[in-house]
Amino acid sequence: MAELSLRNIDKVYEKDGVKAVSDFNLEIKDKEFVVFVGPSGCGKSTTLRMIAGLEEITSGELYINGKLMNDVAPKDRDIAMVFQNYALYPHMNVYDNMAFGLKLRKFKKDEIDRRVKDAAEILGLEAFLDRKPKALSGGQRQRVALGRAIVRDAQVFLMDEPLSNLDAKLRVQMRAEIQKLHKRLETTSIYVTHDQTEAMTMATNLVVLKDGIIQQVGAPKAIYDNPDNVFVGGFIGSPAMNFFNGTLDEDGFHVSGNGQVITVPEGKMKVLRENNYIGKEVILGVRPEDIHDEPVFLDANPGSTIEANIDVAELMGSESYLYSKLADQDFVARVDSRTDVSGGETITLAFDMHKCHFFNAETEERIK
Amino acid sequence: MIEKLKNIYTSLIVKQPNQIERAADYQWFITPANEIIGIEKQELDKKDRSLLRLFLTPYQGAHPPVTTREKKWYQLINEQEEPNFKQQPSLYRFILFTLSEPLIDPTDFREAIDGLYSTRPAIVWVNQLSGMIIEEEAIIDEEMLSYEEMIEVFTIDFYLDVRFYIGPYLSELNKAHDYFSWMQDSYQKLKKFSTKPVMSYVTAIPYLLTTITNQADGRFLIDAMLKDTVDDEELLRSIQIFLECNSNVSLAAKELYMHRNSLQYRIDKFIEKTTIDVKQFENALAVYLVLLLKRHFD
Repeated sequence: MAELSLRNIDKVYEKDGVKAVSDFNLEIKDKEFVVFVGPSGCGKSTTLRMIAGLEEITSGELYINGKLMNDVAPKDRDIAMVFQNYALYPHMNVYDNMAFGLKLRKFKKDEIDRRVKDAAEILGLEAFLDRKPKALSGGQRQRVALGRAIVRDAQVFLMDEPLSNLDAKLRVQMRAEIQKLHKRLETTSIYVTHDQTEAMTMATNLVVLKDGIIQQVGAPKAIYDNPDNVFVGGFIGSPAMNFFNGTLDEDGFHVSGNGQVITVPEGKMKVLRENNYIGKEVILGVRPEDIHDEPVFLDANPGSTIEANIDVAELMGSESYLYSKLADQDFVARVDSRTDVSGGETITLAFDMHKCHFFNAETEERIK
Repeated sequence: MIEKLKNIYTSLIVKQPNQIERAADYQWFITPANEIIGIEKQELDKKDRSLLRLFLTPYQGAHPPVTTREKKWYQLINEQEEPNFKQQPSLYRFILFTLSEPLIDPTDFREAIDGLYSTRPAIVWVNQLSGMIIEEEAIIDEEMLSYEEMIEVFTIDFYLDVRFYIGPYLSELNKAHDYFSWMQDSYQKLKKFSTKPVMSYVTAIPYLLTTITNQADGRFLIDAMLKDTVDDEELLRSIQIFLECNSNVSLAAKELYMHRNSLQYRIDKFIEKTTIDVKQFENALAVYLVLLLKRHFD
């Protein structure tokens, strides 16, 4: 059982005065799997290290189960950590690698034995307990590293980019294993990654960070469907959301550069009108999958069609990515792989304007 | 406060950062200003000790050496007397480590170190928060983790922030004492510039050069870096020209009136003898600065 509360947390490095984390506020419920996601240097690992107690909190308060933790030593916070390298002691066998942390905490031998064997059973490592790490496969080593955290029976798991050093196949496999593990153990977990796919697939609650500031918090689907700003829209989703600069009038959205008018549905127009955006510059955001080439869709949406000269067509298997430009603004469309298009061809595409978003051109905040 | 105490206890000394204290003779305390002071035990009676403990924190000092080899290294570093090693170290280097908090039980740390190396390395503690792992060539094996990975295993098990500063390989045992002091001094200087958890003396050189004030430190750096090539003027000139030609072998070979392959051979020889890959930017920068420093001292 663990609930965490981070209140107005700041981190400023004394050496260079850099503010790594700014006014971080977050409530984490028991059993949640929270993912901190953002580009390198956004403050996600620093925040995790502050929760662990490895970095001092400059100002603000951290509570675990209602108890103020700012001055509590890391070893007394009842947390377990997993890091990027999944490093193990090369000259200890699997059993000793998992038992070592408990031994340091002066657990009794039979308790250590019970916990290590339980963790080994959960992770399918029973047959490998007397093996040294070099005699294990990559995946087995990763599971031992997880086992080192599980045996602690801690109330919070902290994971810092634990899959980033793995090859693509193993990463997908371990992603699923960690999710299964969380379902079984139900330990409150905080997971840091720069990989938006990992973040989307694993999180029950997602925290998007940039420059030490929380950009948005919510369920992955809610964030994907309704990004609060241009950064979140562009960071979450692969390929990234397309953005077009332009101006609005009662006829619709005028694309900067060629003046093409794209009709805006009345519901969205009403919001834009109410917020006084008519006659102003805005940014239109369209997800690649909301750009269509099916004849039925084109016929039904004549107001949002464009003629696109395809620069590159990438066949991904079940779908194709079409790279093109609209008045010198790059975009990518994700269409069915049955579409037979090659680079250099011109085709008609249409935006699903019901699913698009408009952002303030200055603040880059979504207009809602 | 220290001056006032000195008036009462004439044997009082303030511990210097690079000093390995002889714990047996002194009673050590930490002042509220985090200075470590020692007073000779014979100057203190039971009442004095109780009184001092009211406003000073007792300091246990560094963990003493345990194994025979550690005791010999300790003797070599501390007493500057070359001990009779059963197996003479041919090549060794110091890895300075610092811990964010003192360990409750140093034997746990030793056990963790044993799990990382195939053969137990000697550990010489400087104080409760730092020490030196002595890596002899013989204990290095292919399974060894990187220092970044070592930090991860330590952090996971000990809940501590651990940092490493990696020194150069040396073969001369009579330099161990100066090397030990130099590692501590240079780390203190380096800390002001970098927060990286793992630092090597090579990448630290640009920072260290800005703080060098005496020839002895400079000479140590030159010898540690250039190793056997230190007196090979022709080789060093070739390397300097190579670096001044933006690491372009063809251009540098023209400048030196030699064949490209001959220069390539010299570069390879330099890399082999110093173990510094001068083709990497950070290493090239460090080597170039050290070459300039050598010219300055010569």
